[in-house]
Amino acid sequence: MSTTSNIIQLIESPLHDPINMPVLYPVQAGDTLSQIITQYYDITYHDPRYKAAEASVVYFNEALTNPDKIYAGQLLRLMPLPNHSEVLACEIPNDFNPYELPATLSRHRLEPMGVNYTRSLEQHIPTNPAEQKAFWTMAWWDYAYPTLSHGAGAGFIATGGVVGQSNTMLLNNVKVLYEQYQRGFISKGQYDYGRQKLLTQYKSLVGPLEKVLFKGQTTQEAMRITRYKALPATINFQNYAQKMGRLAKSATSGGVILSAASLGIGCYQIATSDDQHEKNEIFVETVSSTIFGGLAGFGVSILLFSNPVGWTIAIAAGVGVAASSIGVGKLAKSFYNAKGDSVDLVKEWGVDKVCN
Amino acid sequence: MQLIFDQLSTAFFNLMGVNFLLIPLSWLTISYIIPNTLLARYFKTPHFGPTELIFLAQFPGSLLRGGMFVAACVMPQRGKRRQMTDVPKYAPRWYMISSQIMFYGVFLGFGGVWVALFLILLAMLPFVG
Repeated sequence: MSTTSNIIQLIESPLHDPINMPVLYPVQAGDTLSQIITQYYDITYHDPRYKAAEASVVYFNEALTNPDKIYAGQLLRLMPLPNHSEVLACEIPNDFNPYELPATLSRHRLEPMGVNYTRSLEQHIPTNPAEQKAFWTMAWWDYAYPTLSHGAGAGFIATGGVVGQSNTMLLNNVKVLYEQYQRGFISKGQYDYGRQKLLTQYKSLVGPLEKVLFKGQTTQEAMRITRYKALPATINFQNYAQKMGRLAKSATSGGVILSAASLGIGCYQIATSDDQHEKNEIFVETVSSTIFGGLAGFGVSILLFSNPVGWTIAIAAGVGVAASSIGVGKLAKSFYNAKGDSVDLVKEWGVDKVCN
Repeated sequence: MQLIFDQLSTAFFNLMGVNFLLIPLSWLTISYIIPNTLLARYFKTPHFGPTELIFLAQFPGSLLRGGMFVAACVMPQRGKRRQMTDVPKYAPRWYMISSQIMFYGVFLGFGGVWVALFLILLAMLPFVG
């Protein structure tokens, strides 16, 4: 017979694998705890694993103090069980009372995330029952893989943003979803729904770039399970995620440093030029285009506030801002040349020293 | 004409130096100091679309978000389509003042005058030099 510490060790063992995140189950009106356990874990009341499942549910839901006191809308965290043989080997006694399990450090690993997450969800719960079901399925995804909701959009940089690592995580999540389905943690329906949802989300994020990124294929066509050449089933997800990751990294880094780099290049040209007039021209052109870019960018943000637009228009506006700022820089240079009393801005403002 | 052009262009280049320091710094600051209360209340659907929520969450997209919240404070009536007309009610006083300084002082003041000078110089360019 097992001791309490053996039982705790058993039900905590799935925590050692990060893939084993709890499912958030919202209690429905008329649900009983035993019904939830038998349905979710797909076991009967007389199954030897039932006691372990009950212990796990009670253990990971601190608010559960009495099986008769669950209420509609309450969120339960349902952890995956350890494998069958481990559960059977534990031999949980029939008179074991899961409500007497002491709290341990491992259980509290779930607490802060669970509490905050539940609070953050409350305001988004849809009223339509059908939508609610889909919402909770996706809520579990969000809980298990928070990167879904924490995008690292690359902002002004279209390519970096479009194939950004946060978006690429969606592809990785399909892979993880498939692995969970293979391990029996989720049903075929859950897998299909989750996969469809993730790929649709990815498709909407990459927009018209989809065909370029996937060599003429759609996201759904490219992201298929591999069933040939003795390759791993999820090799497509892995390869594309890696490719997008590399692309996003270079595009994002390149884009973010672009404005800084243009200033840096200007500075380098100022430092290396022997002609003082040329140095001033470069300085005026670079700084004017940077200022105009900043002002126009701020103007675009004000415009976006009053007129929500799609990402394609936003990118087009960004490209327009970039193009016009280059034009402004060139015109400012011509002002400098047309100025009768030529001033040495580079020397007066100490730009020469800084760049050197 | 050349004399006026020279004086205006001197003002233009001096203002260019001021703006070069002022605009990026103030925009970065105003984007960084958006109060959490405003973000928690408004930075979600239906005020922002799902793509916007990803796009504007982190740098450099967060700069656009900063500009949008400034606009929400100084011209709330323009936020009808985003259902954000009541932002000033919930924005702290210090953030309202900062937004007004950013919008009227930096953007319209320093930036606006610089752009106006640019346009005047552009119009004068064919007649000088």
